Amino acid sequence: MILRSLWLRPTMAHPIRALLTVLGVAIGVASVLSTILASRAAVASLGSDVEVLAGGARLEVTRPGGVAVEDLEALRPVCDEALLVPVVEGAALAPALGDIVRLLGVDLLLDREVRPIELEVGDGSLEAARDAMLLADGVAISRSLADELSLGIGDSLDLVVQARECSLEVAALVEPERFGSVWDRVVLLDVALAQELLGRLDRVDRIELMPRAELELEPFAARVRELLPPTYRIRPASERREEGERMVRALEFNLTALAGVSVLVGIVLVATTLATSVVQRRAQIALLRSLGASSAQVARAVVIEAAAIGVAGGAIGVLLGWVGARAAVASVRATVATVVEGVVAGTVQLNPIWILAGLALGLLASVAAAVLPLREALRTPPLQGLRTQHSDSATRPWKGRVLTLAGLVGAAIVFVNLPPVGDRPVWALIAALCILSTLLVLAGPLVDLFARVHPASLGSGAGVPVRLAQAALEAGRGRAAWAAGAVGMAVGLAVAMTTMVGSFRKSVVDWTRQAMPSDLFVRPLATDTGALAGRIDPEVVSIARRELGDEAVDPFHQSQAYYRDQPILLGGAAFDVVAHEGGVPFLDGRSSREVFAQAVLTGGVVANEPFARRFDVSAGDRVRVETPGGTIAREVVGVYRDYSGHMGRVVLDLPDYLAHYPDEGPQSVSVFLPPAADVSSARTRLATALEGRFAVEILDNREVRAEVLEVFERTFAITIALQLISSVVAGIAVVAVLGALIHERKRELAVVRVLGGSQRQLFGLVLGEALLLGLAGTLGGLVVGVVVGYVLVTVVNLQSFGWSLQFVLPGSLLGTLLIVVPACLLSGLIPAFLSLRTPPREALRASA
Amino acid sequence: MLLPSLLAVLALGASNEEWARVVPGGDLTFPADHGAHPSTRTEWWYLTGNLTSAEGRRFGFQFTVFRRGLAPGPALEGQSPLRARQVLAGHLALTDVDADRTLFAERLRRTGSPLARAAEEDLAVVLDDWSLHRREGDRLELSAGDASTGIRLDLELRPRKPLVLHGDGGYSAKGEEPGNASIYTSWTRLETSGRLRLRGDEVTVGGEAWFDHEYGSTVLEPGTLGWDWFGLQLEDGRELMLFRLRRADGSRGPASAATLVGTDGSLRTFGAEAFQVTDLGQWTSPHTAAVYPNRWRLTVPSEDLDLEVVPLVADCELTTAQSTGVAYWEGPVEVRGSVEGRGYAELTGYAGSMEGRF
Repeated sequence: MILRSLWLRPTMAHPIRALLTVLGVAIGVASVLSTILASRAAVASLGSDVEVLAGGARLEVTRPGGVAVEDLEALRPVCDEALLVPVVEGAALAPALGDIVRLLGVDLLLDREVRPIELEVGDGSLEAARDAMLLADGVAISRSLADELSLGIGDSLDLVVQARECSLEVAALVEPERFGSVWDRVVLLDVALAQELLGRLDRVDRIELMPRAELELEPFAARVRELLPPTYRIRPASERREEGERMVRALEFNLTALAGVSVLVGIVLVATTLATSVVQRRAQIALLRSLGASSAQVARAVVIEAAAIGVAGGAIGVLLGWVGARAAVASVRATVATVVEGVVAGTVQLNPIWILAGLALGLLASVAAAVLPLREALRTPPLQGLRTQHSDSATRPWKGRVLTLAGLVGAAIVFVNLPPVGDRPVWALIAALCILSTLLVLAGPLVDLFARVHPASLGSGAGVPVRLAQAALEAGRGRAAWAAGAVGMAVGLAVAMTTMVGSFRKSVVDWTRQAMPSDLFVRPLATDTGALAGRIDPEVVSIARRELGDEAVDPFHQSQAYYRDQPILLGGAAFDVVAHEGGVPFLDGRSSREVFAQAVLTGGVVANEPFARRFDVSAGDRVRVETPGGTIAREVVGVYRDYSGHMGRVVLDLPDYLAHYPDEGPQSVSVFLPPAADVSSARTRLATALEGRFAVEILDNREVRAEVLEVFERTFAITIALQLISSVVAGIAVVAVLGALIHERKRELAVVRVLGGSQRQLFGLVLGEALLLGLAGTLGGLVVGVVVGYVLVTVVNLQSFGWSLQFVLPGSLLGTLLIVVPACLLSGLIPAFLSLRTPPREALRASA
Repeated sequence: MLLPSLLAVLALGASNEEWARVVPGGDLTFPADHGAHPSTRTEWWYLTGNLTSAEGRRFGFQFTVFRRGLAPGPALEGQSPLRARQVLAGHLALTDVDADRTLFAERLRRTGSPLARAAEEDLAVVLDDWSLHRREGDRLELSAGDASTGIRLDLELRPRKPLVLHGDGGYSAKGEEPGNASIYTSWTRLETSGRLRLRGDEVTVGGEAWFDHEYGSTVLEPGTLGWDWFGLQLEDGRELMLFRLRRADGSRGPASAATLVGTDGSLRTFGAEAFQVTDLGQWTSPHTAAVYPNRWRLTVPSEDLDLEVVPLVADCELTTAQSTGVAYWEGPVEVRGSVEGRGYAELTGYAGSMEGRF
């Protein structure tokens, strides 16, 4: 009864506001959900897919650089207990898809014990399929991939593997319905063909162990461990998944945290709406309380309204999130590509758990938002409420405000100084939240400030409408503060993000200029989203050396290694070339020529900043890195800035690297030409020599740098999208709040009109109010946003990626003012028109 | 189809032309000819035997490694050594006569992996943890086990008679067309001792075994469904090897043959017309529904041999879904009649034709 009279009826009376509120929650939920779903899909091949594709294998034997086939012999004693299945996995580019596919090379003779894969050969013969797959270039692909590429049995599947163009025969189709999306980007082939394509003739990526009978895994793993050299790892497939997930966890966390911001704005919106509802119905609440309604009944009504908004918003949010995730996968993949290479994306999957999580998020956010309005409702005493219409000026004592402010600032200072949790800058983000929250405390005083500024200082002609607007603000101070807070939040977030992205961009541009001095840059083809597929065949290096001279060619190799039992990247570069040509900038400001010359002399290594920060290593320290060729101990001669990824990386001199890793070909090749050389003719010569057999991209210096920035922009596309979304939610908040304010003052506006106020003056009054709110919010948001941006740049980035960035105040900050204030004015237009639409007499009659 | 169908490694794929055909009159050189002949398409090393524990428990065992060539010749430049040009398949069966059951395990792996090797210079076959080696004095060592079925054999086998070369100096014709044949050699009586494990029980065993080694490229003629093979060790010190080729029309293949090994190791070979095999009973497999004969009368009139051969355990059918993809019956038999004895029988082609597989 109370619910119906207090809330449902008014809500039905203002469907647009109700809808906007629900939409605000929905967008918040949607952005969180779509970020999570998209990042899950983007890293599918590192995450859940790992175990699906591992099938029944219980343990895996791996080693950085691969498992030597000859070492299989050592495992003979456990063949009685487990089936040993060699697996070779790698990435290839499918030009027809513009995407990476995963080559899954298994022992087709044995594999059915591990993965019950159903193959279809259509009209072809079984023997032909067998011979094609075991003895020639036959592969099996999922029916969905075949359909996507319009391929059938016997057709050619063109791929680029290790920068080499190859044409494989579709010998069989994998029936996909059993396996779902995992197989959509998988090319199943025999282990031997995979070895040949990926240039790993003497090794495989892992040996899967499938127990023949029940056995205790731990003792069995221990037995296997004893049989193999110490560089091998024996672990369940789930650990590989966990390792993959760890690599991208910080990234996912950051994206989700950014998405969480829009939930925050959604909460502010719900709180504003509920607060407005409460304030508007103070009279009814007071009356009901006088008539004996308990505070529990009133509270229930408020919470139920919040819950209804939350569930509706959550439901719409789940749908929007699913759609959003599909759009966001590409951008998240580009982000992931900065962390791990050759990652194959899966499809966005919305399972019931995420649906429930989305609903729960909407519900929780809304109910949390109900706390403050609820307090307001419960504080409404029966009689006092009946006596006055406008008691919304119950100001909090300034002492309490100062204390709250000091508390928030103090907490923020403490939190930014706390170390990250895992790789996640949890405390730093909470600090950013604290700083943002100061806006809610500051909004009241700011509104007061603007309410008291002399109209003359706002320009001539402001006059009466502005004074009236100021009076209105002063009167509806509570709600106005909410609205200003919402605007402030939006501006603050926009400013913080702009600051972060701007600082990042500046750092990357400077870094690129110094770190990429080569004249030509050769790399494998990339997907449409910029992810690189695999390495470059070693023959490309030989051809480049033959065409352009040995001293001009600097191949960069990279593989996985372990440091303190954590996966890191181990690189190999020609130090003598870099010592001559220069390269990456070093943290301590020494020139790269000097550092690399020292490394050549002392046999030292260089490490990137993420490595140094993560493991607390600095120049002069010795590091022990596990490689397939054994553990190597080297001195770190310098720590260089590296914005190309957040994995820790140690770089050895190339001969040193090749002594510990098989030559699988480099990730990229830099070419340094003599000063007078013609870059474009050298490029043409190299391209001609590679034509027909290899598919690589040869970029000149300008193109490389442009591309780094392009990748950068793509990487931040999702950040920028999230920022836009939170701004949209904030915009909705402003419209909703202003609408409520205006609606509430219908009677006053009518009085102004009856007293002779012109339509223009009235219009000006409403717009003035919107303008004042906008200015108050923008000012607060600018200040707070810069501070939050500083925390993001200097603390959050450092903690999550290990990147120290220059803090740059973007020139566009003033531009923010120029955008936000007019936006507020525009938001004021709708309520302004609405206020004019109702004839004053009707408005007066209705409110009487 | 399921991926395992790809395992039908016995199915002939590529043209047969490139594989070496065995010819009569070729000299055999040992120990090299105990080893693998990868230029031929098919090869197997076969051990069967009857064992008894100290407590009198009776067992039959079979250990076989098949080699199947999928592509002739060595790997090409740039090809992975793991290319499945040659595949080894292993069958290990243990018949527990008193418990009336047969346990079976199988292995499959391509050569080129260190886990599957068949040496060309001597008998040395390795398949995962299974191995069969020839040592000094033709002593054979067998080691094979399987955790899932709980069986294991570690045996030492010493030939009591010289190596038998069947047919024409080892050239054993399986059809009328020249080349449809195999090189077939045997140690027909091996004194066997060692350890046997069956589901946790480990016992010392002793007994007699039979070793066959056979290779060729085209063995069966078109129209041949399969064969029934008997390797019998008679109590009078002689051994009889006899095989009957069965044709689709129900007739006996004219290349069916037998070898009788005298107590001194002397050989007498017999063509199809010199012996008779009469089925005396039937057994229907509960696994494949195939109907096998399960008792026979074998007569070689010229040698006054009139034998009744009876399986010790009816269900010795092996379904080899994980390796060779065929089902066949292979089990220990008892010999009664003009002379008593023991041995092994092998019945193929009852659960699907062998045509096109050998």
